[in-house]
Amino acid sequence: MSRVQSHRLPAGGRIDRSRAVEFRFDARRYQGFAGDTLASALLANGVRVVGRSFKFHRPRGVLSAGVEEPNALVTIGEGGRMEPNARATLLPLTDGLAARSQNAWPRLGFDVRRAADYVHRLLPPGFYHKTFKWPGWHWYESAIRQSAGLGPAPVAADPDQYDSQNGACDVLVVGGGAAGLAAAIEEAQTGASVWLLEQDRDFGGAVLSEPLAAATERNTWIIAAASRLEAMANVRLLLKTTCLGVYDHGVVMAVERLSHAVEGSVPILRERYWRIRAGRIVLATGAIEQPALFRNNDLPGVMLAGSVRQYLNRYAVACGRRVAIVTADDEAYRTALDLADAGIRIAAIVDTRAGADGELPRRARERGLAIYQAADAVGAEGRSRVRALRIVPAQSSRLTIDCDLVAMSSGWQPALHLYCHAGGKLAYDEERKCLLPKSGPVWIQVIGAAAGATLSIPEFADVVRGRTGARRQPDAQTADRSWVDFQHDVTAADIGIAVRENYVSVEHLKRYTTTGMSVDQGKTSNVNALTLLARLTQRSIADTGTTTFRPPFTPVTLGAIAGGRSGRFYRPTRELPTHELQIELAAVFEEFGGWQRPVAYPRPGETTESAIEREVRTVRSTVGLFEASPLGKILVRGADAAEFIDRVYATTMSTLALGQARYGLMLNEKGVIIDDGVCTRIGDDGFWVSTTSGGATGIANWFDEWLQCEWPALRVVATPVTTEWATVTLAGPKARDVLANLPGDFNFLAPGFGHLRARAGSLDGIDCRIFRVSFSGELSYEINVPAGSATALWRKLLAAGAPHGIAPFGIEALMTMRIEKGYLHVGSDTDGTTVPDDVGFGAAVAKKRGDFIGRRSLSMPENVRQDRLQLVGLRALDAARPLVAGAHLAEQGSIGYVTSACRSPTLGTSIGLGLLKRGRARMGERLRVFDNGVESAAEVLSPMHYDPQGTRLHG
Amino acid sequence: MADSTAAKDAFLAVRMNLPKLRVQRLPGTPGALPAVLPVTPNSVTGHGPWVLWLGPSDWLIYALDGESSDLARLVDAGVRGGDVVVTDVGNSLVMLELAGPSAVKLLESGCGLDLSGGAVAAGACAQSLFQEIPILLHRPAPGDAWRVFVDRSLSRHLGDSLCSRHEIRHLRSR
Repeated sequence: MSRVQSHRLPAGGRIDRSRAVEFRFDARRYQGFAGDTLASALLANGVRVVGRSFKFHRPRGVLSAGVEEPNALVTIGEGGRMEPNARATLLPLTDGLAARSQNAWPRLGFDVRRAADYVHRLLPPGFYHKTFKWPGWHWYESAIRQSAGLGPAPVAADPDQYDSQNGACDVLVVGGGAAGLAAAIEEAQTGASVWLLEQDRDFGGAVLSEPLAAATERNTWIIAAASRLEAMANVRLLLKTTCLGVYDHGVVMAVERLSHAVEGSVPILRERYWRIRAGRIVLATGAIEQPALFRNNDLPGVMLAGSVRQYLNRYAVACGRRVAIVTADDEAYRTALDLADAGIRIAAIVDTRAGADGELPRRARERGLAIYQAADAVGAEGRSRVRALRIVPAQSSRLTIDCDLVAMSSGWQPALHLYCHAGGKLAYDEERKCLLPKSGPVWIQVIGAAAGATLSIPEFADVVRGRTGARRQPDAQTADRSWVDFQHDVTAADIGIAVRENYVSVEHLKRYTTTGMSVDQGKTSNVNALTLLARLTQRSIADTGTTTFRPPFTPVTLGAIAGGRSGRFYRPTRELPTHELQIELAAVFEEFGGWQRPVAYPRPGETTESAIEREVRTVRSTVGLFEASPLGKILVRGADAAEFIDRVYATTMSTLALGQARYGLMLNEKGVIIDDGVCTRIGDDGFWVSTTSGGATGIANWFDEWLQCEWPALRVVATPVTTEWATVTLAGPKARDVLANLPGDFNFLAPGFGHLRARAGSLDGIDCRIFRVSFSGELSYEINVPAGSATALWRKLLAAGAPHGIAPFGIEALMTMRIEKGYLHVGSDTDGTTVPDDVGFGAAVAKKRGDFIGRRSLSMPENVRQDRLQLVGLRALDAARPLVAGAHLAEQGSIGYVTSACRSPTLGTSIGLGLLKRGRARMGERLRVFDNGVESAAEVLSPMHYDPQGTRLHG
Repeated sequence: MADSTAAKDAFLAVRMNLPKLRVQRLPGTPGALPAVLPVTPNSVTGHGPWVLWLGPSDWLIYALDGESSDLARLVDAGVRGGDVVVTDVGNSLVMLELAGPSAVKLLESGCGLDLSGGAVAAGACAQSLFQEIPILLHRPAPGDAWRVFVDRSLSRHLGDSLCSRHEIRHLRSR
């Protein structure tokens, strides 16, 4: 049953009374109107308590009407659509909206954890740091998290869609109030491309808070300005779009809210993430009203004066029936006058200043409103809603004023967050009592209320004038239970405690008391905290400084940041040229170095592990086929190609004859191994460089860097062709028999086509380059064909190999076989310090004549130390405890570690490779092996577990 | 101009194996470049085949029909002479053709170039990223048709992520 909108005025407002909207808050149903926010609809229904506070579980009501809201945080949506900490002041009221209060148990009206509030003296700032020291914070963390905090995070996947978009403009105007609209028109008239972002659903800014009738002229101007901009081809207007961050060079992050639907099974496009590159940025972001400090200023029914006015005029909601105004500037008198015009009783205007005699106070006096000048608000009375305000009028004793609403203001602070993101500095203006822009990048300009200045359009001067009136100095002496930070439950007394404990830097104060943290980022607390800190430390505010504003300006959903890049679009993955065929062959895929690659090809009834073992046995006994296309391939060509190749490899390559190939290591300038592979001479001035799959892109860039920056005189070009050529590895004792079954230009039996030889020609109609190289230790051919022909080649080889029982094998089987063979895998068996001698290539590299990258470093003392880690083979001695990569090899302490490990189907045991101090001198030793607290034992062997003579390779 | 809701009006076609050659000039080559190789960054010569500027000594030549060998003959006639190195990249680069009023918006969803603001003029090319994927853009003529070259291994990811957006109406077959 919907309840009557008890606090809705009979007329007025910018709401659509013809469209009633049903919604729920906790267990109750309510009704509001189209055009309401959740906050205005709750207030219209007389709902005062909307949440419980972070630490003390005090009842809290709506404080504001905008982004600064610290109290009215609700959870909306269910399952994957659940969104915690949504600010009710920003949520458009939609049919079926179901919002839930947060941080209250068992219910909002009666929260047992309010007990914390009654023992608040035991819970000062820093309480946790001081109390939960032993044995460790983590022992207490979950219990404390349970009792304190905001809404819980959703656990289900978000079903909705998000979008991202880049944009660019000459001038970006942030804020669609009068100042922003005027600036956009002015800029657009020059022909510049102009974007205007407004976070509200309507243009108008502060004008939206004015009574419709009285503001006719200004309203008309706003509407005309917006339509004028809309008609300009060089202008783009984005409503419901919040600018969240400004970065170097005018790059701006903004989020556009596209839909607020909270139920239904169809995914909706919820938000769009904008990355905008702006030539210049104009900030017309307005100002945020700051609360006054008095005891219990957090009671539901104590609100910001300007927000009370906005609820009244924009939403036709009377937030109270008997109102006390507490103010330190003229602007709050507008609230008093508008309320009085609407027939709401003004119990008192408590002006902390003496002799305020501007136009607004004068009008209030003329209307006969009760004004107490030079008076102080001492405290609000009430348990879960305000019932009275105690004040001390000038030269008089305490007075208690009955009221159900306190509208407070201690002035307006320009919203300069974005200015600070861009590196802008603020200065405290003693006259206006607020922080104003001091200096910033030339491409950013602050106008309107955000600059504390008046507009250039004369008739709008009064929209912003007075917004930066006198700020009352908060009184730290009346500080207990006087709330500075509503969201994080920080009182003025807490600021005092922090100062007494010498947290006198503004940054320390923030971290010690947590003021200014969380969802609202201190939009209503930073200035009061700063003012108090300055006062307590007897410094000027300018000397005290401010904390750093960082993006985002308001909370942003992870969905918006991901912008559709979730699930399979999380990040780009590369696809093999034979991807579809691999699926057909029932490959199990995993990502390796950005590629989707077959791990193994389990047959019905097989596990992945048993498939790997079968694949190894197949290759060792007959023949297997491997998709090796990600293997890096770089063509190096030009008159100086041989010279270049000799400089980049630690192995001499220039002596290779046409069709000869050689294995080599590549080092960086420090002598450390960065890649390895086989280099083949394919022409007088041409080499085919084969790199690791993971190194394909990096080595190509490395070549370019040396050619362009260090050796520009070499007549060489390097061309990466990794994805132009697919690579198919045919390995096993029957590999030659399979190839011999195919017609073509090759004579696989010729004595010239031995191990480390290469030939080019046509194989059954497909142009290819065939290299006899092996990573498995078996007779092996790497067949390179244009990527578009790879699938055809696979089918031909599978058919030709069928009589031999050919089977595809995956990357795990290959890795198992190379560990058996003792072949190095750069990055697994080497680390960022490994030099050639550590992995057994010291002598080969030392023999090389001429210079190469890393050569000089190899003779440095560190690289010839006797106790360096050296590559060894390992065999587990305890069958129940196989070797694990990463396990420590130990004597008294760690003397090395396991770099690769597998269960060897060929040897029937657990073997591995490791880097071990003085490893080559330890052959036959038994070592202790530690892995995650489990101890086992291993024997040190030569890395070549399998076929050390290489007879199979050369077979 | 207010932001209108996205119309489903973009078309995507994937062209896998068009003839394409990469032409690289060897350092230290004396003399002026042959006219067929453009020297202005991001400029393009020809109207099919097209020669795209990739770098001061780096170009891509492609055509919409024929074989890479046809292009190679063109290079032989116009440029070769031992000064350049030619590589067939017909397999490794895939061309996505994007057209329609939403094509620019679709590209701007992942590419930071101000395409709607004319960062790539008609008849010009540019190298950029779509999200993290390197792309080469060619805008052959005024209008809303774009050619996007991408590495073969990433072409499905790029094509699918473009198609996952609601602006796409049709995907022609690979």
